[in-house]
Amino acid sequence: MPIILKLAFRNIWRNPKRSLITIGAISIGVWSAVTLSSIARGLSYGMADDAINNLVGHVQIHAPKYLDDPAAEFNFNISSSIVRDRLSSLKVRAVAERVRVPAVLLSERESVGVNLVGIDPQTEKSLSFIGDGVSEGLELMDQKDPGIIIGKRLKEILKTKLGNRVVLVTQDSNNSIVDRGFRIVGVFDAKLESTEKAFVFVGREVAQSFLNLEDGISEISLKLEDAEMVDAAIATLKMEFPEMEIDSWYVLEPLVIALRKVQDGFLIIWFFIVIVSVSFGVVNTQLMSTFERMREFGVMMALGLKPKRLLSMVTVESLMLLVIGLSMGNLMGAMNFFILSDGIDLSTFAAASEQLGFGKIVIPRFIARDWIQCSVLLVVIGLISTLYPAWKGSRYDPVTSISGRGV
Amino acid sequence: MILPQLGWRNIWRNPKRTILTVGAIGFSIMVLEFFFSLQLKTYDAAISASVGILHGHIQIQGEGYNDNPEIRNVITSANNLKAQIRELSSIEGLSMRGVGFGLVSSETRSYGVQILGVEPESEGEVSNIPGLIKDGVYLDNNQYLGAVIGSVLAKNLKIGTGQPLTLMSQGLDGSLVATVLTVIGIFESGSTEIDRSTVEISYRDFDELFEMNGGAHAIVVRSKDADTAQELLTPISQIILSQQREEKLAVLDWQKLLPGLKQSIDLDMSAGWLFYTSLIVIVSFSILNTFLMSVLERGHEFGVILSLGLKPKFMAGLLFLEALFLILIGILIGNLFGALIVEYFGSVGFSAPGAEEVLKKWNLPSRIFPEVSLKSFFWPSFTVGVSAIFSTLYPMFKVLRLDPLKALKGEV
Repeated sequence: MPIILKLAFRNIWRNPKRSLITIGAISIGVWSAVTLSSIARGLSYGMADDAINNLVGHVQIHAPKYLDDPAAEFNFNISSSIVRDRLSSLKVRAVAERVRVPAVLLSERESVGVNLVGIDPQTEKSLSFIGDGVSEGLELMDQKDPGIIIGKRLKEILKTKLGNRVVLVTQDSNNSIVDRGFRIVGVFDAKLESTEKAFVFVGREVAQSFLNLEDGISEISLKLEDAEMVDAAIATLKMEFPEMEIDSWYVLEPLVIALRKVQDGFLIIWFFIVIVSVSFGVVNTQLMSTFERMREFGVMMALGLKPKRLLSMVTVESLMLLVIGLSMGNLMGAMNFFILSDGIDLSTFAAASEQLGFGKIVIPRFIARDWIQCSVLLVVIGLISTLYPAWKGSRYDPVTSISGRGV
Repeated sequence: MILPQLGWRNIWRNPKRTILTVGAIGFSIMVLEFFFSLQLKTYDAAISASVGILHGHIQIQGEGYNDNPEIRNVITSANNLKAQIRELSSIEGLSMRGVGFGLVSSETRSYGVQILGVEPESEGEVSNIPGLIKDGVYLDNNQYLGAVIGSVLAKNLKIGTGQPLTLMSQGLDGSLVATVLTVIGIFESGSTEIDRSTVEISYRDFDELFEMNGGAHAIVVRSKDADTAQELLTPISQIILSQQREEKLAVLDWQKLLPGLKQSIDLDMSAGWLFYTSLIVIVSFSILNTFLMSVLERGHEFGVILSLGLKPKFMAGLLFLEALFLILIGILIGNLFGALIVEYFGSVGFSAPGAEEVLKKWNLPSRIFPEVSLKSFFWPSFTVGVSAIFSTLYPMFKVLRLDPLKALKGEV
């Protein structure tokens, strides 16, 4: 067998220009497939990260009716330390208790609908964007801080500024309308304007007294060290708190997962298309090279080489071209990946990123499965398509091919 | 005309190679044509869906209102302006609206919403909502203080038709608006955003409640399609100018009304071309390979021709013709199969598996029916053709610099 490898390797370098162009075409195909897929994945995985950071976390606990009707009425009383304790077998990064209800925010000049979120500022630090999102003014000191933090875009809409008072109007746990004035102590920045418009933050205990909740909260959000353990965490929590509604981030944000599935389908079709296009070139090269060597093959067979071994030699040649092209393409893809690791700036399309819900910077993401799919497809389709030239070569009749009269 | 004849014969000297090259070109064109026509049709569907629900193709608003919807920024004596615009041909629908923001409350729930004061008799010309009532009836001018609300809002408010809805807001002069409306209809537009946050009342009620004095915040225009809309912009601006109004007005097309949609289309197009370009480059390599091979192979033959006194230019021309034949056949076959595939999916519809949810969120139908169009023929053929011709330049350059002696020995 090694002799076949040696022969094949020498053969592909007998016409280096041709082999190089073929390898070039293969590697460009692989490179483009790897790079484009990593950008597409960066987009959808970035969306998932943003969704998780956007107050969702990995797992959320709510009162049963809350998700359909997020009112103060549907509150519950489980402390974060109990959740931590129940999940002690899994590594939990952060658990936050929150109060969260829709409200109307009024400045002197305008009024808008928002989501009022009562937080413990310290626990949000490793959990959601608001932990370190404040860009102007101060963060909330603790859950008793009497101030309010609003988004940058909301500040513009309300035509207000830091230090001004705003009024929150909402419904308390008995569904009566309540209102209270807050001083704006901080303004936060978020990736999407819609986030900056949607949320305002106050201290959790302040919100609880405002909404007459006593110790009640609207949701518990938690993040695990390992995102893969989400299902295990949910199973445990469901057993511990059977009366509660417990959901993973991918149930709460179905769009992100749906988009990823569409991508799965599209990428594999695209890999297929790219590889078929590449294969046209590979078949062409191999057909040429067997045709050229017709006489040589005749001699080899006349000397007693079995057609089977000739077939495997030509196949090994194709395999070598494919593997060299594949490695080079992946190498180029990897280099590209590091060049783009700071992300691609899509701020030209700011309104689109707002509409479609992804961040303005897309950081390519390497997904092993895509890479494997692409490589396997290339080798399989490449080999199948070169079977014909190889088979053709092995079927030459020694006598006619030595005489150069062709097939 | 010996050249074309020679060229045609040459490409059939090695039919397998020719078929493979033509196949590569044809395959790429077929793929591009399918994806491209799918994209174009998706954009059409997205535009007409978004434009159709509420926004219309064109809106006339007070200057700056679009970015900053202040209730004080009003089109005064809007009826006057409307009447003159209606005179324009190719206007398919025209209606005016007052827009306010306020708090609506049912017995148990309150939400902040957008209040639209619409003209019941003409709102249907510019918006699909009057036709999307799933419960109750749409507004008419005989009923006072009736309201039509979105289905998600109705669910959130836990309210049905016939029930009272309290409205609190601020009028044009800053005074408090507080009244009780009756829900007479519930609509489902398919856009969660709109269904969650929109309350429509009649313009007459809006005028009275918000003290508009006959003013409006938007005059909405619908035309036949997006292209016709562009042609309406200038005549509408001229009418506004001729009226010599005190306030400054802006005429906005759908691209300005829905900047997110416009940019999403641009972004999708750019991303699409990123993919297409990679495919075109791959195919070009395969063509370069074929031509280089055919030059190298025919070194001896070229040597003989050159020694017989023919100019290298002649041979380069011959090679170019061969390339052109291959490319043209490829384009022809590619477009033929491409059109067949597009036609097939045009009749049964194309839906990406699992895409319904994503499409719905972005306000698109779950099934797209692509169509062959001039654009979907032209761009794939043009881009693949041009880059294929570019990839034959190097082999041709080689022929131009051919040395007869070396060529005769087969060294190219």
